[in-house]
Amino acid sequence: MKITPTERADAVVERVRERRAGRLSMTIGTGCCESTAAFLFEDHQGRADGVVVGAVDGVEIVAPRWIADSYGDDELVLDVDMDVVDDSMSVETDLGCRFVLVHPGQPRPAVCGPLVSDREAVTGPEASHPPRTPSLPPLDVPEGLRGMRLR
Amino acid sequence: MSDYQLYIDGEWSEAASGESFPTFNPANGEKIADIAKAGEEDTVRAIEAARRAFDEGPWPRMSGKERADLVRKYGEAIQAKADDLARLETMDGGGTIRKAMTADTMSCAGTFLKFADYAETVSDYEELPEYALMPGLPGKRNYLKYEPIGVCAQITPWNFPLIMASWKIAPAIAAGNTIVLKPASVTPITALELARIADEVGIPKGVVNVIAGPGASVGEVMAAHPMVDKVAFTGSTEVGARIMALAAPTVKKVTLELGGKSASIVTEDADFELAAKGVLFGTFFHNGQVCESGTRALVNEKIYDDFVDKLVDTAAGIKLGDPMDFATDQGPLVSDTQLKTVERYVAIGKDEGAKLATGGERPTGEAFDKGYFYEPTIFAGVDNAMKIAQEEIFGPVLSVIKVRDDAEAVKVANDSIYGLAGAVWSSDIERAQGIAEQMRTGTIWINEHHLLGPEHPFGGYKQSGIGSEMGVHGYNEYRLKKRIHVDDNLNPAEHMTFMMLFS
Repeated sequence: MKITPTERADAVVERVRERRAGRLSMTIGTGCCESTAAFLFEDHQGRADGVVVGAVDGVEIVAPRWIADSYGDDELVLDVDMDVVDDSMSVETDLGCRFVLVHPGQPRPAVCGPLVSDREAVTGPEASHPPRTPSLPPLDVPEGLRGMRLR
Repeated sequence: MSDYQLYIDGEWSEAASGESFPTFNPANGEKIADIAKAGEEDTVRAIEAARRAFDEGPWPRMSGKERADLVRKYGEAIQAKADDLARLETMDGGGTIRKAMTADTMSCAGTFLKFADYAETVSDYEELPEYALMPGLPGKRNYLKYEPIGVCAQITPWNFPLIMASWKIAPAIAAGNTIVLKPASVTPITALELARIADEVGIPKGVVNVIAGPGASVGEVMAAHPMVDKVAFTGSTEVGARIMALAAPTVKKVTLELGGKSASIVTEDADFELAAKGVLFGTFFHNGQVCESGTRALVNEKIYDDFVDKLVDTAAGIKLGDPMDFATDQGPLVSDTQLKTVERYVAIGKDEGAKLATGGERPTGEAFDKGYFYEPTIFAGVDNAMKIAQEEIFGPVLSVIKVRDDAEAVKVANDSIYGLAGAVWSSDIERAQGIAEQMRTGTIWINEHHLLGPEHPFGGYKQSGIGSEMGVHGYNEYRLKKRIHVDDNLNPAEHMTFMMLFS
């Protein structure tokens, strides 16, 4: 497995360093709603079976051995999706973006928008209020689903 | 300004930063609502509110019956709002309205109702046997007292927002804990609606706190904060490991439900119609965005070619379209990110020599132009060592693998870092049970898939997780066991233990 970062990915790691003083490490993880993805963590204990598969702005990218072996010499590109609020705990999400792994044949935008953190925050004090539920489309429930009840 | 604010200590409020983020309908890209974006300060405030509610509030001190009455009322209120919640779930996550009405809302309400029952009927006390090594000791009794753990930080994924929130909130509060829930940022709406219902039914303030926000700033605080006693997480294996690491210094209890790459084993005696529909249901239900999806079909070589044909024919009948239409079988994927992940794996599958039997493209046409739709995709000729057979794609991609016999099927099924679920499709139930019992996985269905109920524990083997959710087993994951030894013998001369110190 070989992971090659884009210039955008290098630039995001550089920006993360400005905000986080701890030691950064990147790991390739798998599973559930993230699928196989790159995670940038601060002061994280790495895995014992890790294999270095690349580097992004000087931070080693480490994959579990079974994944690294599975890819052999195959390459993936490490790029960045801008303007996302993400749940991965990967620390670039502080900036409103997320690292993504891309097949070399997949098209990617040449230019992305600015990082969310670079934009003027949309802020404004507002009194507390219960949720303003959006307007809902009409619901024409089919006969077979009507009257479905628990117990 | 947010349509959905943070729900902390029984009050709605903007984030301390004043920031919000939009959530979109994945079927058409339209913005649905602005959500207050919690940061570290808000997260700490929510944790402190939950701590106060646990340490000083009435909730953990109520009887099981009193808590049950309120949790039952909570479930009934969810039922009463099921039509609205179903539409919101479909708009926010892209799952079909049929799924939202038959699975999401019913399961969510049913989970609250079941755990209300548990709060009322599962005893907080358990008698223990007498000392086996020294039977007949006078005046001694041992028993367990079950107690809530404390403040529970809960993080849910985007695939089943209502169900996952109910799996977290209901058992925790039924057992007397207080919670801070962080729903997934891409599908936060219905969890915040559940917070509204908690407020409406009179759950005491601070017991249920719901905040949306990014994983790095909110999730890290939730997993590491010393006031948190337990972390429950459903999501990726790597983040699960990160949560364990963050929770370790303060030795929090941790429950994790993580990834899967479940196998559906099809024996040569399986009913063709049932098995084909079942395998496809196991894979393509909710676009494969299900942790226990059966994304590897292990098919006996005697029927392999015919079965692949049957799968392809049957998959052709799956209707993609507007998820709000009851006639639609499959809506969009949840996000552009997820769509691109699926495209990455289809490219990888082609690279590594699997045969694309059907799908492998975004559907074309006006109905699909603005959404994240992808065709149900089947790869044949897959070797279990391939990446598409080993890595969880979390999309509508099925890998069909040929196996010689049951023994090889079990071996291939178990050749995965995961062990979340699986299925066996066979007309011979005894044979199917024999196969099921050899599979290293937490849930197996025989001639069925995806059926989960609040009565039945769900949890993973291997790197699919730690602990279980649901059922009495899941309820007990939110309770501590205190052993109490009672000795009513007041004569020191008869306390045999004292002989160890006093001659």
